[in-house]
Amino acid sequence: MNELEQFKQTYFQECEELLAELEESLLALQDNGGDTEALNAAFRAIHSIKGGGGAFGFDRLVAFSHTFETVLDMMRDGRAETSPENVDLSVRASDIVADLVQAARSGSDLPDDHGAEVFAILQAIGGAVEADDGDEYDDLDFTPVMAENTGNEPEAGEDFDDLDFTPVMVDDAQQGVPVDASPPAADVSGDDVTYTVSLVPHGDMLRHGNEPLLLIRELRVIGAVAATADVSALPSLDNLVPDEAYIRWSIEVTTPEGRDAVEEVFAFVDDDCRLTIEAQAPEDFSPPEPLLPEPIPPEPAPAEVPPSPAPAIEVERPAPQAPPAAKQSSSTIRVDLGKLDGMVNMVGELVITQAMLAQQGQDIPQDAHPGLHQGLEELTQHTRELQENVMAMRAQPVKTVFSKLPRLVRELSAQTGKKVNLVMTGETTEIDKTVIEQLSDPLTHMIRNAVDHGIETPEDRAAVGKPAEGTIHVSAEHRGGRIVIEIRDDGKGVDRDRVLKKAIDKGLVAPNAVLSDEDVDNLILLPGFSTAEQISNISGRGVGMDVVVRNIQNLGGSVLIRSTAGQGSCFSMSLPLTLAVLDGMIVRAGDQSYVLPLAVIVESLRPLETDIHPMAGDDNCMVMGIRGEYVPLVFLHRVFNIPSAVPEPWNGLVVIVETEGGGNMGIVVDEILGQQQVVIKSLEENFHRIEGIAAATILGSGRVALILDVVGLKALGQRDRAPSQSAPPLHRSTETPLPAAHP
Amino acid sequence: MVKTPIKIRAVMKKRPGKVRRPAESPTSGEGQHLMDLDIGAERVRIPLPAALNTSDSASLRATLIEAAKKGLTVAIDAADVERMSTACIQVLLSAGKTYQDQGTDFVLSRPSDAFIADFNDLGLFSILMGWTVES
Repeated sequence: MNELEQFKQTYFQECEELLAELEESLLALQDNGGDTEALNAAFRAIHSIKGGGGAFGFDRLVAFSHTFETVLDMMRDGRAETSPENVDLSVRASDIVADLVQAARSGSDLPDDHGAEVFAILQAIGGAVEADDGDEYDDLDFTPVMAENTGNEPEAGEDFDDLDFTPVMVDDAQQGVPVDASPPAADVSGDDVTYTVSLVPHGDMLRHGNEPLLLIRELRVIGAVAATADVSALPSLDNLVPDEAYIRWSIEVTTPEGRDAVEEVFAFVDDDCRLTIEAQAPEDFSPPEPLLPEPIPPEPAPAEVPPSPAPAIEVERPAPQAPPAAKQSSSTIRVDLGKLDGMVNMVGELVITQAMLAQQGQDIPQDAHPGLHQGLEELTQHTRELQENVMAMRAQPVKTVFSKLPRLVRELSAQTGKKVNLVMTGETTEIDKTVIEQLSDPLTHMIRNAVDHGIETPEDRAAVGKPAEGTIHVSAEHRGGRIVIEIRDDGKGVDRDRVLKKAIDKGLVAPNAVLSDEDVDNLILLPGFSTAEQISNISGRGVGMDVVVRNIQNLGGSVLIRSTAGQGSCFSMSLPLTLAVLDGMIVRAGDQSYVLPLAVIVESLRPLETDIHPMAGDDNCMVMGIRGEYVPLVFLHRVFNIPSAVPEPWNGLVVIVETEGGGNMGIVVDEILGQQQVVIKSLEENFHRIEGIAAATILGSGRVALILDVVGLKALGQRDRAPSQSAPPLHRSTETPLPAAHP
Repeated sequence: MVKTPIKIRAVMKKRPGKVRRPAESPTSGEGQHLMDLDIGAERVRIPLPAALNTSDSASLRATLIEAAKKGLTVAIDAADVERMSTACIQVLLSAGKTYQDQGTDFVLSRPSDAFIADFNDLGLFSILMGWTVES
């Protein structure tokens, strides 16, 4: 049945989210056993998984989830201890649940005893409690499929006590405004939490330049906000010290971002105020004081905030502006990715057409058609805005990929006997969904590498004075218009001698080659490379790393390894933020146009002949002196074999760009044609990957231009400079014309 | 290749910096310079400027005190307001309360959207409702 399949798919998608949430909550519990919120969130997640699973007849999943849920419930109300052992057990149980979900999804069978041990322990704790409490299937919209052997019968009278509705008194003043007045219901993803922030400024606060107004507005960015002010301390005008702080606030903020996000807003004002932040557990949720519609008439004293009309208005006003606080499902909508891609594609085409129109428009005199020009300008603005909006739709936080890592590290830790602590930062960094999907494999592989080859055993670490537990730090951040993901470990670093020897043995490198440390480190990325003595089932097959690198390169990204022997390594992945559009600078070399990403350009200039120097007396390798520093030069016409280009930098232009590992590089071109936003068309999809070229595009003139990849150019430039190749020296006289360059 | 007029731009790389809060210089005390007062037959109008920073709070306070002395209706004209500091909002609130206590007639005239938004965001909209507002 087609519809059933659709529901199933939706269920599995929701399970992904629920499992991620379960994982996160359990991690939080590991850090702090008293975190009741995390415990509640974990319970809700497993409860939802169980409910849905029952509807589709996933018996095993239901049975296991039920027992797991029972134990979580007991921990919630204190019948069982939230001890580290129980939390660890829960973590293991969540892994089993994930396996069961996966098996249900793929239709495969797990061995009968999979998870049996955990199940037994859970049952022992739960006392094999049967579902007498009547809250079995109350989350379901359709009749549960009767499964013969679960042993869980739904009760005749379905209770709704798990749906977390607290009835709210409605009176005229509220006029049925549901949004902030009702508690956030325990919905499928259960993300939203309401925090009450009490902000009592010290007298100096305003003098120190801190603005409560800005703080409240910052809170709005992360969620729905309702502020209540207490002006009782405000004196009369005569007695008022103008920049003294008198007002205090109680602020309700409902956000899925977690307590940290709320705390961060107030990070700089801690010292200037008395601040408390309290989370409200949904079960206990009663509408906060100011929102409770007490039928009290406004108090006569004008300085007091009248409680009755005030809350109604405060509740209503934030509602239209801020994202709704209630059910997550009402504020998001699932869209088939294909449809979104279709739209992105069309917007891309729109941008190209608009660029062409703009180009044509330049030939039409402004005076004759002022309306046309204005229209074209507006079109440009609207197109850009449309594009930004559409791209934003596809942006997701990296969190979704990162959330799988803790479990991976746990498994690897157990398998290798090494102790590893995983630290993740920058999870809220957003990138395009398609890029995210490609991240999962590379990340997994690199983490495996780090645990397998990087982090030493506890004994080895102790022997060199390191703490027994190794640390892997995974971070994501936006840098220079790209996203950079780094995996650092504090292990033993790359064993360069061993790597070099292996590379030579495998014929990947000439025996007498002179390689820098960085070059040796990056040998690991070559195909067919592996130094593991035993090919473990984790890594070491030698096929992994190069596939990883290739996948990343296919996205227009790059991988870099930096390592310090004995201290650790850092694998750094750099990816474009979006695969669709780029702000670029159009440059020309000969009769070819190229596009340089604007984000990497530092500056451009025409150097003097005297600024250009050969390195170590070798004319192949040129540097440009600028403001006391030397920048290596890459000649486009040499790298890409363009006969008609201007070979001398002092007759052309040098565009200085930033490179990945820091440091700048100068690209020699003939001239700069202008700046344009270009739509990226992938070469890999339509042709194949070319080093030095990230992608292609169609300019406003209709011609095709290639988008340069700075990292690739650097490598090409270095190879171009290698002593084995020779290029004719630059002719320094300005009188005689140059013969055509033959690279 | 159509040549477009070329601007060679030095693209500045922005380094993400730490958030810096500007330190406003403390102001208080007598002899503050006053803001402009538009004194008519029946009312004295105080046109609020576009920006009311913390450093303007003393001047605003002195102006509001001075305006009340005229014995006319005080009209606070907020049409031009684009942003307000909490300090100045406090001054206005205090003025409202003081005027009510003293029996000085006052009216909030043509409050801009930004003015209302500032009051609203700070949870003070209900107080605004208690004032006489004219558009």
